[in-house]
Amino acid sequence: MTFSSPSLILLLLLSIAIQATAAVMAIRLISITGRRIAWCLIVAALLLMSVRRILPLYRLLIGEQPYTPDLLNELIGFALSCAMAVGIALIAPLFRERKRVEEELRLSADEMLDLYEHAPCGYHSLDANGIFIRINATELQWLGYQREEIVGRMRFADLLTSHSKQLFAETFPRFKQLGCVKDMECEMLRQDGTILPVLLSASAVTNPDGSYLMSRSTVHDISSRKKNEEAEHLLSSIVESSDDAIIAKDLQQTILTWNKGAERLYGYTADETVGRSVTMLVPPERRAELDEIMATIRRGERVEHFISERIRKDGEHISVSLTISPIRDAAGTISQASVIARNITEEVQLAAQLKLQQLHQEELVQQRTMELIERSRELQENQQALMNIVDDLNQKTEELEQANTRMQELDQLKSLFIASMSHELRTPLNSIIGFSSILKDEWLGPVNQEQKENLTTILRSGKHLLNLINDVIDVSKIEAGKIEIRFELFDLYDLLKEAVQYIENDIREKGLQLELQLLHHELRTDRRRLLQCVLNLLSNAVKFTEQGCITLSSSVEAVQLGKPECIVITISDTGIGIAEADTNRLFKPFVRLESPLQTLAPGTGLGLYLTKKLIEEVLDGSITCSSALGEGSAFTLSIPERLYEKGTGSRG
Amino acid sequence: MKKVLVVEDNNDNLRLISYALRRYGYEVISAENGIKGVDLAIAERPYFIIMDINLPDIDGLEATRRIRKSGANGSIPIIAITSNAMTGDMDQALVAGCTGYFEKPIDPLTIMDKIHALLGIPTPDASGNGG
Repeated sequence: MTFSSPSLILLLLLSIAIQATAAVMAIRLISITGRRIAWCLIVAALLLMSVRRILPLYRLLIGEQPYTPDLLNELIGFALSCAMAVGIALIAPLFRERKRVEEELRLSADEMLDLYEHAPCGYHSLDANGIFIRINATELQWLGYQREEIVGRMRFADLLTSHSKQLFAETFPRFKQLGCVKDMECEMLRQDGTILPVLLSASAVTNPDGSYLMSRSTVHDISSRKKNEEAEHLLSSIVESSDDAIIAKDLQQTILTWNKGAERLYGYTADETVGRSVTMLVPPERRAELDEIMATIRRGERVEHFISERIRKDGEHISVSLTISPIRDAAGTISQASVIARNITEEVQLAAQLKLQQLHQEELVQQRTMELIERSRELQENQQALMNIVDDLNQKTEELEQANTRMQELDQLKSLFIASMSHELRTPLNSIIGFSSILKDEWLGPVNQEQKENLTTILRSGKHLLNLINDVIDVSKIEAGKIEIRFELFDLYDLLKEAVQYIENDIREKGLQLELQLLHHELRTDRRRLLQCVLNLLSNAVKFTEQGCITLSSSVEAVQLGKPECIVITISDTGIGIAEADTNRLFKPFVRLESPLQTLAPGTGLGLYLTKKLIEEVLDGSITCSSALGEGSAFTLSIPERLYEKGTGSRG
Repeated sequence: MKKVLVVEDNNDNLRLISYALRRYGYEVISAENGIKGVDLAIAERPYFIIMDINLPDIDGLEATRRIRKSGANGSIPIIAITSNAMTGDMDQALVAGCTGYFEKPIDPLTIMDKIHALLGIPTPDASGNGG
């Protein structure tokens, strides 16, 4: 049979396509199946077959003549190619399915291994001698060992504390017989020596004859549970040992727990109370409080230090301080409440006593306050009185100031008066004295004895009046600080001689003796005032001496270095003397001592006062008197020999 | 007869001093104020002058100054009579040209002794008759 050339070309093309497709399918199977070489050979055969058809195809296409391939051969080749392609297409899914199953199996095995190794519990297997056959990573990690340190080398007992070792030694043989052990607590030793509390469960794997082959053991780390247990134990110990009553109750007031403290506080044992309502402890009038408290607890709030009253088993009422807290269950719902009760009966009693004392103290304080207020009011009154007095004083001061002003005015008037007196009073007196003296001296013709006596009286009275006026003027000047000091240089001797001249007549007339002990000494002071003083003292001496001697002496007193020398003038007499009691009054103004001579010795009463004033304030000296009644007196003047303007002139 | 001028406005004082002056033989001429006193002093050229300091017109000090200024009578002794014996008064009297001064009151029994002592002349015998 002959094929036209296009038919042949089509046949060849189909054959090549089918063989190539089959080859590609075979190539894809290579990676899936395990038999790679076989599939490679098939692929090679298919590629060879297709390549062998490319050459005749090429010849036909370029029209190289003559070419006549064996048609039958080509048809068989085509049919074979188709069969192979179909075969491969049919077999390929089988291989893929197998591959998938294998993959799944492998993954599952890995999963199992991973689970074994890294499960949250320890796995191990022991042989009949208790030696590790295998152990998982978790347990190794817990213990801190490497796998090769344990497997085939260590016995499980090697990893236990002595206590657990003993337990294991008793348990393991029984386990091998029974094939099972469950929840055995033991303590394993980590490589670092620390203890790992575990819970051990195991089942035995047996040989077909029933003999023990190995164990499959699971190990649970219970260290955190142990810790919790310890903490719980601690807590419950605390609760039990607490002096406070610690009670748990549910929301219906049913007592759930009852500690030793509660037993002590209320007198009931746990057996008597747990399961009963707390209202058994509460006095009827206080029961309403419980509802309020429970309402608070339901809101999730605490009630702290709530003070209430409870009844003990023996019927005694006690005061308690309650702290009630909500207890939440795992879901966060408030299901219970804890009640901590403390006996504060003593404190309450104490507080009541304190309150009583406080009240008492408050009363006292109030009483004191009232007293203080009273005192305060008295003080205010006193203050008011004082203020009134001050007002009065101010008024008086004002009055005094006014009076003072008036006094100053009066003082000026007095000065004016004195100034005018010095002229207006003395001028007529001078006439009286002057004219009576020339009449008495018979300048204008003889006068008879009686007339002479009368003229003497006029003269004496006039002189006395003049002296009085002069003394008053001098005293006024000194007291007003207006006395003038006239400094002169003079000889003390001359001054004393002059003074003596004035009294010589009187001494002669009285028949007295005069003794002088005078020094020449230059002085600088107020001559006129010194003369006035000496003369005054001499006059007094003559006046009060009826017989004996008047002595006038002067001396220079040695004083300290650097100070001006003092002149001492002494006038002494043998007269009537002065009683000691009177010496103090001697220098006071207008004092006239009682004496038998009083009427015979006229005086102004200002003489010694003025003398003392002059000596002290003008001459800057001092005067002293020593006397004995009936024996005589001695007046001693002491004055600085030189006086300068400083001080005295501006006095007043 | 030596003339003595007394310048004094108070008649009582003038009479009293006149008794004393006449008793010792002096002729008394008098002026009752300062200006008359100056005129009389210049005109009469008295042996000495007794001058009261307190006078109604010019005071004794001024009168003394004027007399001293008049030249011809510059050397006539002038004795001041002071009534209020203040330091200043006395110093002023001497400064004004007075020969000396006496304080009132004048004791007619002793004044002439004092004047003669001041002027340095012997005391003449008292006539015992002032008239």
